[in-house]
Amino acid sequence: MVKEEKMILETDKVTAGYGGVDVLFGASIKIKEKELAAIIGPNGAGKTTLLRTISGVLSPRKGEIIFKGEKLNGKTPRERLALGIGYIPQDDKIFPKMSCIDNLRMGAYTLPREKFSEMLEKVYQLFPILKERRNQTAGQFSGGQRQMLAVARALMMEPEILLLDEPTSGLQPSLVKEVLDKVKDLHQQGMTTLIVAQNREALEIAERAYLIRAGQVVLEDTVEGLLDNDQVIQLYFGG
Amino acid sequence: MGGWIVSGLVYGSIVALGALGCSYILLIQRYFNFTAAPWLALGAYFAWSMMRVLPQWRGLELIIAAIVSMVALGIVMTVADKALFKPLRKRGAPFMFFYLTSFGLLFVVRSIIWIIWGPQAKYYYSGASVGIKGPWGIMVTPAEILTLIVAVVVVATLYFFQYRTKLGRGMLATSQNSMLASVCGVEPETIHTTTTMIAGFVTALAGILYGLTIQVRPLMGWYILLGIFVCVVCGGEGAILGTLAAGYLVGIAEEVGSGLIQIPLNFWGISIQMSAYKVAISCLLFLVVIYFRPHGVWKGTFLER
Repeated sequence: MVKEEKMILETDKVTAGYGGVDVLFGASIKIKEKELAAIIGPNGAGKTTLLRTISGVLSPRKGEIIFKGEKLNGKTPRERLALGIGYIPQDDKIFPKMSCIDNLRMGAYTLPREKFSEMLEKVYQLFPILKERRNQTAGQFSGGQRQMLAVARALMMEPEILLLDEPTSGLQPSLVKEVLDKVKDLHQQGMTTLIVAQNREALEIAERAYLIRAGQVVLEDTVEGLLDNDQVIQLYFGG
Repeated sequence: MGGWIVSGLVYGSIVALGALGCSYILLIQRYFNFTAAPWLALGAYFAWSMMRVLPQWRGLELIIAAIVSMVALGIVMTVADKALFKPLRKRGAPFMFFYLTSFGLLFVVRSIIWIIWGPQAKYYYSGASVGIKGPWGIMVTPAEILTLIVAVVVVATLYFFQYRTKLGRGMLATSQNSMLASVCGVEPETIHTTTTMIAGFVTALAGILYGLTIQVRPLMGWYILLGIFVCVVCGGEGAILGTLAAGYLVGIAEEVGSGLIQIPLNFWGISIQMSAYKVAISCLLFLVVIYFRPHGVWKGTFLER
């Protein structure tokens, strides 16, 4: 079913890790154009490592990463950004000592100067709160505002795919919904999104999900299928 | 007292420039650059050698020698960074390795200076500098006025570069979160090269100004290394304006402190020249700052204002 549709991102048997230790062992996923896919799995399974490997922060030891038919192996994060990969890490997703506007300037670091104002207006329309607080130091933002700033920062380059690593981690329940609604809105506007989901709410906004365990993709299913799987839900989201 | 303060400001300006070089390396590359001491001397010797070959014309030779020396030291420091520190960065080596490499390089550079230029003190210009009488009878030499002006201009330029240019923002971002900076498109090696070049420029300038106001000697960097260290800590790990203010604090504390202690020593006929022990005041200041304000005298770290 997946193979028939146009793929934007593929990881083919990717092995990656830190220092001398491998964390991913031949992980393969395929993301369709304009879909919202999720990755779930226990802590230490390799979800963050997979996203880091796709964004170029980490180099794969084995396997291939293909984006829009182009092999990404050996490309720097800057080159991958230029190709259209936007990455929002789980922790330290903003520059806390910079103002909101300077964070957005960093998002547009490689953007031509003349396009900056246009993109700034676009992200301000999506996140009006950021316009109100543009001169405030980002470190003073609440968790939800930090996440919005992180998403806005990534959107400054108009990415074709957004990699979100646990975007609701550490947020209070009311903010979780707010952040996920924004992710859903972006997806409805045509943004391909790959989200690492650590709770049921985050999984529910996706269309399809991969379950990673011990560095390997052990299950791929629609979200409905996964939500019907009591064992998976019990194991990873506590019922 | 006025004379002590002016001397303190001059000395503080030199210390602040040296400290800025160390701060940049500390914040971006995360190690304290012990080699700052011989680099500072090397910058001064580069300029001295240039001055020997340039014809003298209204001080222009000094400006040319300073510019060439700054660029030359920037290049030498960058080559050393690429040869010694880049492999450590690539391997993700523990920071103790950076400190040890920096410490080892210190002795290599110091030895090279001794071999090439010898142990004798050298001067940019022969003959005593004529002082200008300022307000309250304070005597200031042209070299001291130049030092005060250059430090302020350099700090203002770096401040502008840091907050008004894309590369400066890239450096700020890298100092806060290098991984996030790289996913924003900042090339880490470009930042490392820029940092090392800037550190080279300001370190050479500090050496030249020290040589101009005092003398050029192989161990000149050692004499102010502790002051630089105190200045980096007091300035708040790289706050640009804070570092200049901390430099002034160190300079004035050393000059005024040693001058005030000298008064009772002279009164009681104790033959100790406090000017030789100025560095003890820096040590004391360092301990006080570390105890009461471990994050710096001024609020803020990491290339903040």
